[in-house]
Amino acid sequence: MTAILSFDNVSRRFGATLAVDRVSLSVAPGEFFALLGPSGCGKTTLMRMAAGFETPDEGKVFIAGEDVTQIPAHRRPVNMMFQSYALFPHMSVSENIAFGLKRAGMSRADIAARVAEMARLARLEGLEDRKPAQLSGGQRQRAALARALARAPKLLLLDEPLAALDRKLREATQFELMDIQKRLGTAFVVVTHDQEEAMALADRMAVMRAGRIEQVGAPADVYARPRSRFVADFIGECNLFEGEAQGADIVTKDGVLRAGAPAPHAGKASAIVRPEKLRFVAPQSQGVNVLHGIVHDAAFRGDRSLYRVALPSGQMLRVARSGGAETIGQGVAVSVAFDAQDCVIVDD
Amino acid sequence: MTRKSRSLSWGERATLAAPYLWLLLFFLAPLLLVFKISLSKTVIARPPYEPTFTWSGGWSAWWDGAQKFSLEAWRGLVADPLYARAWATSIALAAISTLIALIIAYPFALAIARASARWRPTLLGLAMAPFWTSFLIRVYAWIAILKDEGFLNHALIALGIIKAPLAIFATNVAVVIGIVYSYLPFVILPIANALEKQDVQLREAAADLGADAWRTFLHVTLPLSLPGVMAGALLMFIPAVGEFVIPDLLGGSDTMMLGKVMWNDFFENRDWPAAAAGAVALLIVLVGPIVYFEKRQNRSVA
Repeated sequence: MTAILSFDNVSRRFGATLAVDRVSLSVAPGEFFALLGPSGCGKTTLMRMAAGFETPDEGKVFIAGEDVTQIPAHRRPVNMMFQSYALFPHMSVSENIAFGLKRAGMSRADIAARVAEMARLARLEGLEDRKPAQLSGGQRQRAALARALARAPKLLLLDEPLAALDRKLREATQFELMDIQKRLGTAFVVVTHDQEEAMALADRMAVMRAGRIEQVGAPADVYARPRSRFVADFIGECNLFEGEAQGADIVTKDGVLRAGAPAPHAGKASAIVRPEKLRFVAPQSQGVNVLHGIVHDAAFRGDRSLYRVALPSGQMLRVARSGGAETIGQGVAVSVAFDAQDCVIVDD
Repeated sequence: MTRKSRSLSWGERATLAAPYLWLLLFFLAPLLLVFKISLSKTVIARPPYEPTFTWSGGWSAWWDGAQKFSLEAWRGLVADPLYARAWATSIALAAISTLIALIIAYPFALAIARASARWRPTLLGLAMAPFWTSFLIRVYAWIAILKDEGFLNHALIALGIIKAPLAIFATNVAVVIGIVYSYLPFVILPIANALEKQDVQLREAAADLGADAWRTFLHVTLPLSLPGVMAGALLMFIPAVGEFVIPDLLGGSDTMMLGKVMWNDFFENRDWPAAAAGAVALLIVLVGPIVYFEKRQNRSVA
């Protein structure tokens, strides 16, 4: 199957900064893909190269197998939903949705039918004659989505689609977005700096840093097997043990830890264990991957509690424990353990 | 959003009152005086109208004076064909000039608004540069350019484009040229301002939805700049209707614009009431569209 979008070794330079540095990436048809990274990592520039608002200095951009590197934005078969929504303020909701259809030369009747269909899809019925200024934040977001989807693109680009919404609305909209994406079968590429959002939405995601892609994969894989300290740290919480790797073992200040797979290189490396993979075991237990410490404090989070356990080396270990279990008091000596398969060794 | 109203301090009240006081003293009061003169009758006296009011006569003298108010000047305004012609000429010349200025100013404004942030102040400064020279001198300069043996005719003849000089000076064409030239910066500035404020992403969104550069301009850039276009047009049209200096210097004896007719009434015919009535009528006619567009703009913003 041809990729709906692919970047072949693209770079983009702004003055002295290399915003995108030799990136290659493919998105499959119908896939929900997330470009994730901190601000300034180049994810937005990469998306704008797909839309046609930036031209790569090097490399090529392909849409559905066709080289579009030199094709201007208005002739590319993609649509984009802007972070600011960029709704035309002088046009009503239906005029906004119809804008792209008119440019495509559709008949009046077809346009009216398509606008009604999109308004229904985005739950904008009854608001068709409103101007953007008369809409709430959530309605504006849905109007922008309806406008971007009206031309039935095979690929939709979404720039921080949920960033302008408040927390409650964001969660509801996440599910709505996934629902629409599955129903239409359109490939969605979302740019976001919010790792929870990326993991919740995407089938696959790319974690970017300083213009380069650090790791691509399904959210669960990237979370469980981060390829670098940066990825581990950026996605979710983690415990980090620095040391010297020897095969699947790593010698740290807190003892020898064993990982599920051998380290990529011998020498300086870090072991990563997620807080929820750590469990309390009987005090003074012996064995591989057992650590002894003292409970520093505990934070109750409703569905779970987060403990901080001080290790003899001075490192503060974060241990998540699902709710319901009795709490462990401060200052209590405890032992925690984890399975080798839940530990990943990455290069420093 | 609701905002709690709170009582203002005396300092705030005084600050807010200052501009109103200014307008009251230097705009409303003189205007009422002019309106009063428009209700008077011409007499050969000093001042050349009656009734006049003094503080010494007491209430009865004021009452007697008030009886003498008449609508003669206003009737003359409607009946005198000279005024009707002057109205038509003024509005036509101002409208044509405004239209031409809009067509010239829009590309200027677009170039300024789309220039890089580093160049924008320089370009705006250049658009304003003519204001560094006296308005009167600039209009006089146009006489030297437009007259029969002026620069323009010399240049055109030297280039072999025409054989005999064009008679532009002392015609309505010269007046239009003068008005367009003089008011152009007033049209460029509000349009440039409106264009500069437009979100770049709106143009990107239009391109994303399949609009080429021309359609993006036609359906997004232009309609969104219309408030600026309207402001520029009003800023130019209103003073241009009452323009006196330009038709006086560049126009011919048959160029009868309102400003000149009023000037003649006032200084040559010593018919102060007629000139005053003309001035008040002009104000009323021009205030109408201003209030209308102001209202419309407020509504579109809300």
